[in-house]
Amino acid sequence: MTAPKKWARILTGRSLVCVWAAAVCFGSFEMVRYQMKPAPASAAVAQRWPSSLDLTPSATTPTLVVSLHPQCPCSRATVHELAELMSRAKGRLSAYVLFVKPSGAPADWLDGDLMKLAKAIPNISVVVDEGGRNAAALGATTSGQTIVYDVTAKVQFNGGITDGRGHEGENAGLAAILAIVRDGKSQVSETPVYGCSLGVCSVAAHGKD
Amino acid sequence: MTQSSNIPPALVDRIRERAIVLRDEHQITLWKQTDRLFAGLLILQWLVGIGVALWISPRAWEGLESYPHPHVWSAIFLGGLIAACPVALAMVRPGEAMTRFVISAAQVLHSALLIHLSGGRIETHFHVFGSLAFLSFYRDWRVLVPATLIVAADHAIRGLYWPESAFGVAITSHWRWLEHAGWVVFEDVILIWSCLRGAREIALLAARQAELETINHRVEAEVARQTERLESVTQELVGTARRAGMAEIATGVLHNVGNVLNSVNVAATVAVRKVKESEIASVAKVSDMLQSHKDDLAGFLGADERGKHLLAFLQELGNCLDKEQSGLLDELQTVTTGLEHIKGIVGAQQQHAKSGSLREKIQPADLVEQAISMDFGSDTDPQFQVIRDFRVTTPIILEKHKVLQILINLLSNARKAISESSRPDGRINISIEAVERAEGHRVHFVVRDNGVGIRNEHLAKIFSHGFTTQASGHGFGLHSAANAAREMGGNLLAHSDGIGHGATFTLDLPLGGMTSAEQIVQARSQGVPCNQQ
Repeated sequence: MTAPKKWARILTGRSLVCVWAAAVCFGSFEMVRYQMKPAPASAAVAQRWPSSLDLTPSATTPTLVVSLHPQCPCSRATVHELAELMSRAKGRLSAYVLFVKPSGAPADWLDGDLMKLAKAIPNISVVVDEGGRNAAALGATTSGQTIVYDVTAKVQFNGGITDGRGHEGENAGLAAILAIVRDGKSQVSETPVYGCSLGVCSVAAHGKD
Repeated sequence: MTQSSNIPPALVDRIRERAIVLRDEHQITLWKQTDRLFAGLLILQWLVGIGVALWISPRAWEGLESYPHPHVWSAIFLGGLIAACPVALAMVRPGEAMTRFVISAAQVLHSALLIHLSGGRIETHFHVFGSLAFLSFYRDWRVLVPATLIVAADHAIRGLYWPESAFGVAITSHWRWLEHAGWVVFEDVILIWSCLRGAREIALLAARQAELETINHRVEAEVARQTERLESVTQELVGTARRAGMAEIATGVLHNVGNVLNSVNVAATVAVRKVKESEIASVAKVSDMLQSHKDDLAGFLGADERGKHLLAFLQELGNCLDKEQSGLLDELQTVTTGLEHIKGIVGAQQQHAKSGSLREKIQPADLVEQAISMDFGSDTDPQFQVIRDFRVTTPIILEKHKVLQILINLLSNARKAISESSRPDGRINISIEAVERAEGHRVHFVVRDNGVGIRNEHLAKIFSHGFTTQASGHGFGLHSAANAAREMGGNLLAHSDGIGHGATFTLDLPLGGMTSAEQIVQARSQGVPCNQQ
């Protein structure tokens, strides 16, 4: 092979590799961007435990309510993190998991591994939220949205307990709730929520019961 | 590099150069194989990624509405993009450094994708360490560099801009990425050591192979030289053997010719003696007598006493000359037959030299008679009694002159054996028998004498070239006779019960030229029992 041809071959190869590398970088960036893109924040979250809820808050420990879309794959990480949270809270946290079932949902709406995973977590109350009434009352609009009320029924935390879409691992929401359990309060009261839309409209009254 | 002490120093440099070539060839082969391995692995990982995405997050939801999850598209398109370039390079440019480096980068990019698709599961992170171990298959430590740099850069960039995506917390040290990269480097150190060691082993193997090749070349050259020498020696041996064979054949031919010449010589001598003793001179005397009385022939024949007996004398002379002529014709016939046989021996030898045979249909009894005539001539020796027992009386196909030569030899030996024994009742039995064997019908010419006999220890070597028990013998006759028998597909057998018990020689020959059915018909038509031996 002559020298010019050799160089042409090398340059062609390296150019193609550079184009490939750029394309991969762009694709990876987009993937990470999507992963780190939170759902739009709720317009309003009930600042106090809504009296219209079918649930009863704990009088001795903070009460956590997680609203989940039963088909949302990203929420699997939320359930895993919830399991981690309950384990580390060591009984000092009451928890409800609301599986939202919108009106007109098919019969198998709740079938899936998310419900099974949630039911397997100790000291958790799994509730089917028909029509998303409870979620709407709480102001939860995104699957994985977690709201924590203290013993006085006042909201202490609102947000997600994952650091990305379907991404497990240490995260700010988890740390904030553990701080509330441990100290009764947290520096962080809100975190982004990563999950599917619950398809309900918030009817939470800001600052009202 | 190690060299055997018996390798000349001049070859050491060549071995070293060859070792480098072999090492490079081995490395290229290894790199190409590993490229192909990774091409398959990358495709497999791509498919697995798609499967993981479809299993874990097939669809994204907004209330009751759903659409394919972006993870699925990421797995298909980004995963495909990551795999495409290294797979293409592995196919079109296998073994090149750039291919290895791109594969290295693609492998850890796949790790990142799989970690992402699995939701950041800590278990999936082991893919990074497994990939590094796989990359060490190249035995090229440089391949680990792109993978390590990408892992480090990924963590550094994420640490700067999205620390929670890499470390799970929003606020962390800017140098925490070093901790993650450090574990990768920790594995790298071990793998680099392994790669260097592997490369050294490849170089060592190449050196040994080069040395072995050199030794093999030397051995092959030596073998070729020795083979050439062996061929030369073989040719010499073949030449010597051929000359020896020719000498042996010539000896046999001369021996057989000599046997015949003996009888020719005897016949010629007798003829000469008979001519010398001829009464032909009496004719001249009669002529002179008549010449001297030509003027009065009537008176001479009628009155002279000699004339009166002349007519009777002439009649007796005529009878005598007739007898002489007959005797001379007999002797000349013997000479002619002998010369004919000599011609036959020479002809047979020439035919043999052409690797052919001279087979003809002949009466076996005639052959035996001819042999007897050759050996004993017209003179009858009272010491010998020849007894004939010919059970095969129809013509059979034989090589006449070879059989004749053998029979002459056997009869000559029998006569000598009887002469040596000095017994007055010498007897030679000659028989011709048809014999049935598994391989077919055969004819046996058996010559049995009651001569001096053969020692048992001599029987084994009686047919060896140069072996003889006779003082005037040369050891050629039986040897050439046995050879001739074998050439005809037969055998010559000797038997003796020891000294003083005579000997029996059997010429065993196939009844050639006839099918088995013909042989059986012929044997039965003669009413000859087929002896089983």
